[in-house]
Amino acid sequence: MNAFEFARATSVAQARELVAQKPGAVLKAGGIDLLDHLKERLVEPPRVVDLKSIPGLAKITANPDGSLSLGPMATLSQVASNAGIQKSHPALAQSCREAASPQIRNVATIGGNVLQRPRCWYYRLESYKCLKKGGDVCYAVGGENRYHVIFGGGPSYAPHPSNAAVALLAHGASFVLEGDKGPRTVAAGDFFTLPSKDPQRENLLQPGEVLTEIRVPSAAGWRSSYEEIQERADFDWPLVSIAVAVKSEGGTVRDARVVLGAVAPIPWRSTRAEQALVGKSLDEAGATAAARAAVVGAAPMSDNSYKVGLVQNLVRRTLLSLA
Amino acid sequence: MSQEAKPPEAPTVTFTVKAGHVSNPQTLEVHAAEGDLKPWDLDSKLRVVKGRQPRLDGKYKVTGRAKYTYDINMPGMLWAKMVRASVPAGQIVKIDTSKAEALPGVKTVWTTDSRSVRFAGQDVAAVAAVSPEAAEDAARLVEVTYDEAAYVTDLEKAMADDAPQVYEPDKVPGPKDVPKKGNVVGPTSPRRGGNRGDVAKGFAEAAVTVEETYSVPVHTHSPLETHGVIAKWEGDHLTVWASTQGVLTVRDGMAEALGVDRKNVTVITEHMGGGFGSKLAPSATGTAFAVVACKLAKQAGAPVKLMLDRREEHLCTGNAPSALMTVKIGAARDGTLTAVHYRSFGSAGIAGGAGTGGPAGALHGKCPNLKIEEHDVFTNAGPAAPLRAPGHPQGAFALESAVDEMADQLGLDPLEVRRKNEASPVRLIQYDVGAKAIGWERRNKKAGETAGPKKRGLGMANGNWYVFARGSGVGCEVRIHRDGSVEYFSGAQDIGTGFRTAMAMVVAEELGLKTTDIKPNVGDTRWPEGPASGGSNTTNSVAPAVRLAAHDAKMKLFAVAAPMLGVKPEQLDAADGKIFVTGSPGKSVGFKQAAAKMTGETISAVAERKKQYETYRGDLAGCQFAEVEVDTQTGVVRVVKMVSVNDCGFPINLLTTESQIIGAMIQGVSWALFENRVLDRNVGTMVNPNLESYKVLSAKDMFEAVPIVTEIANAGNNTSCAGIGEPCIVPTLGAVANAVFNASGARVRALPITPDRVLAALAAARRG
Repeated sequence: MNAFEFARATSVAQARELVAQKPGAVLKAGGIDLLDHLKERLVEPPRVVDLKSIPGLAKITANPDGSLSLGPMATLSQVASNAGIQKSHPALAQSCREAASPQIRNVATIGGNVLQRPRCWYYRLESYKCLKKGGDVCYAVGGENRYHVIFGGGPSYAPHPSNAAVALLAHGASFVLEGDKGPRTVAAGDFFTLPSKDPQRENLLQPGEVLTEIRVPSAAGWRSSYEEIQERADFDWPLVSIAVAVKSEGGTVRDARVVLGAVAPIPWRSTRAEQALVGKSLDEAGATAAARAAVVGAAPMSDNSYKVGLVQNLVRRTLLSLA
Repeated sequence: MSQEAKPPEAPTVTFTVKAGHVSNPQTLEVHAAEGDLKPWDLDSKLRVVKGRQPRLDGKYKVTGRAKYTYDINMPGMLWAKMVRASVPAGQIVKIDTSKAEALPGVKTVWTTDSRSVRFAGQDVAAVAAVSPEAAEDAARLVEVTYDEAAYVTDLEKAMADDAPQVYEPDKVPGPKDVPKKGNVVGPTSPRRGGNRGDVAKGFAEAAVTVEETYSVPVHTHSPLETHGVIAKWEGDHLTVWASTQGVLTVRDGMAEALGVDRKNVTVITEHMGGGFGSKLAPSATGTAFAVVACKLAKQAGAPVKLMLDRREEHLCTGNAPSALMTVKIGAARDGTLTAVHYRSFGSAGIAGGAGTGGPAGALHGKCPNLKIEEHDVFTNAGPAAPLRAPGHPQGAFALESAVDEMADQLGLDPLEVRRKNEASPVRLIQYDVGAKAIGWERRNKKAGETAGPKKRGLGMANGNWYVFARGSGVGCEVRIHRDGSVEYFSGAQDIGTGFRTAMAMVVAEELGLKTTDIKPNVGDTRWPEGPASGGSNTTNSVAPAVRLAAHDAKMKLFAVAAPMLGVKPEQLDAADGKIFVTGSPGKSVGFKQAAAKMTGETISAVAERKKQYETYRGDLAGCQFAEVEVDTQTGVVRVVKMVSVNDCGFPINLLTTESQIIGAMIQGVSWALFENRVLDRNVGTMVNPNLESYKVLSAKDMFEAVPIVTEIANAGNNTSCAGIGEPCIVPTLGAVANAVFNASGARVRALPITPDRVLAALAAARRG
């Protein structure tokens, strides 16, 4: 990595100022993803500004109305082991528990997890000057794309890596971003952006903006679940992940959110699957119909068509686990 | 070397020994070299050897006091970093080091003389600087210009007539008398085993034939400690601290490359963080980094440390070749094999040595007709290196999958098919032991018959290996000091197997002491020579010399003790820290008391390894059983339990022998399910040169691993030990694949057995 200056911020305002002072300066949360970028020289910042020293940013608050206010610096372990969240928002707790390895979960933050860059092996190696690094080609096209996307691809095909984001989307969360014009709140469903808009970004966060809070509405009346399929049992990225939240009345689904991970450049909400569920009962027939709907429009690459079948099986199985 | 070896022509001494397995002892006459000791056999009453002894260096390893090459630093030391070829084929036009040399802290640089690039990752240049950071920065400033050429990295594409040629026609490596066409060299037969009978006749006689093709990708060794050295010159004398499996190989390699005398090179490996065969070369198969470090140290007049990083470890330090194996088997209705035709292609990158026919040559020995054809295929990729039983895990996966497919087609129990064709009395014993330990009767009688989406099943496979031992040029020194302390000296290195503890057990056995009384000194070329640790030959080669040295030292101490007890030295024996009169244990003197009476400060005995002689068997038998769970909705395979049954002659330390067997199961399962070097098909460079996407089994993937040793009095040397490191990984891949089939009905013929392949195989099975 390059030699850089290390600064500890004591407030969000100061952190933003420390970054603004030095073009190319970066923020550090848990530092897991940043360290990988530094070691591979994907970034060579003159200054790294640590957010860990800011008091209060790791707080997890369960509000009286059932909603959650998550400090972005809360670690994945803290979210996963929070008894209240396990009960109120099970998909979220599960998604944080499934991420990475125990050692990493103890350091990695939920904010960092949501904002981390893709794990595409081309993006992660300095030697491949790919679209995501300002180059002019996505090496996954016609290349080694077994782990790449089946939805929303083009011109870049790297899947979004966040587990937590998949669950947050299913829970209808929103992100509070603090920038030059003060704080703004963006729904998770609007926050993530496709490469067709800009292949070098995965979300709306502007340079100099800081994620200061994750708001998760009350999940009263909802049942939710998260599952991911990975080759290794631990310390592996999902082939496919899924978060499902369902609201039923008298055996009939009234509202549903089906969100898929690792299959698109953003956490992929399958509105087709949701529509297939609403008004139906959560049984074999309903789950199978939703599973079929979930893969409509899938566009697998040369080596990843297995993800289509995997998505169907997972949608069906996760829905039935909530029946 | 094996049972075919002729008795030595030098004077011999004949011993009658009780050899083989305790359930079926064989009385053998063996002809050892004069001066050798009677081998330990089934009648020997051993007090220490064959017991379970925790590693003497265990506490140093877990507390961080054990210093590995990586941990060694010294004043004034420079850090070196190499620059590697970024393209898979072409010519180096220019190497410009001027910017690197201008960087503050940079002391010296090296550039290659070679202009041809044949794989991405080849040595190009190196820098040495005052800090690792400066070295890394400087390496990035070296500018290399290439004239790129067409290349091929894919095994099957490389076999095509119009494939780009890795070597110019007159430069293709390999023996002269073997056919060469394009990138393909072969067919050849394995060095052992080989063809017999007439396969055409055998297939004509068969009631059923199975012919399938299996594949295994390139697997990298991925030791925890990467390759590396520290090189230090003092005048004309060079000392190298190396992470190596062969201190002597490094010594000889450095002496030759640098034009210095061997006696002026010292190589030290006190602790080593894994090699699995990749650390047998003086540097490594795809890089001369150690030579470069020595040159940089000479140029700079300062010690130089050069440790490879993880990416380099994947690219240029060796790997297990890929394999594409077509197995045709003919059998009678009762499962009796009539013919085996084994044909393989494999790529060791720019190197040869991709043969996988060993298991086919050794297993199912009753089959009368056998033909083996092996081919090396060159690709523009890093050269292979031996990896734990080279070629055998791949070959056993193919052969044992095919036998399993044959059993399924005939509706027979695959274990019964193997019994019917088994020529080894040892494996026949192991079948019963293993079947009982795994509960073989629990297997699905019809593959995939368990209800529900998560299905369990059992599979098994066989493996083979050979008895390798160096019969000369191996020594040991044992010293008994006046204070009664004992130490031994062996130049051979402990590569993590527990060698230093096992040799201390041999000394303790001979001297009647506890293992913890013995101080080991290993891994230094200044001490009596030991072999490089390859072929599972270290313990086998060194232990007999250790025993002889301990015996000779004991006899010298007996000469001191005899007058104290008023008897002749030949009447004495040693046990429990005492020297006593044979037959009258009451007449004794303490080991320490006797030592205190010695003339001078030290009794020293140096012994040379005597020749290996005819053994009970020259092959090592093994078989493994796996239980797996297959999630048929996701294709995910989890190994539940494995039983590994092995012959290693007499184990010296049962605890670390079992530890090696467990390690092999882990490495083998990781190979079967996860590991896969991926080279980009369009650019020719590796996309997963790390331990994130080059996947090695994680802690949570761990299963119940049951190591079993079937003790065989091998009687090929005075300790009756053979080897264990390699044989125990040979059956693992096949056992897992066969269990996946039994669990789910999915026959996966390409490793690793990843969810995509399982789902595809399940779909194929449903289609019939």
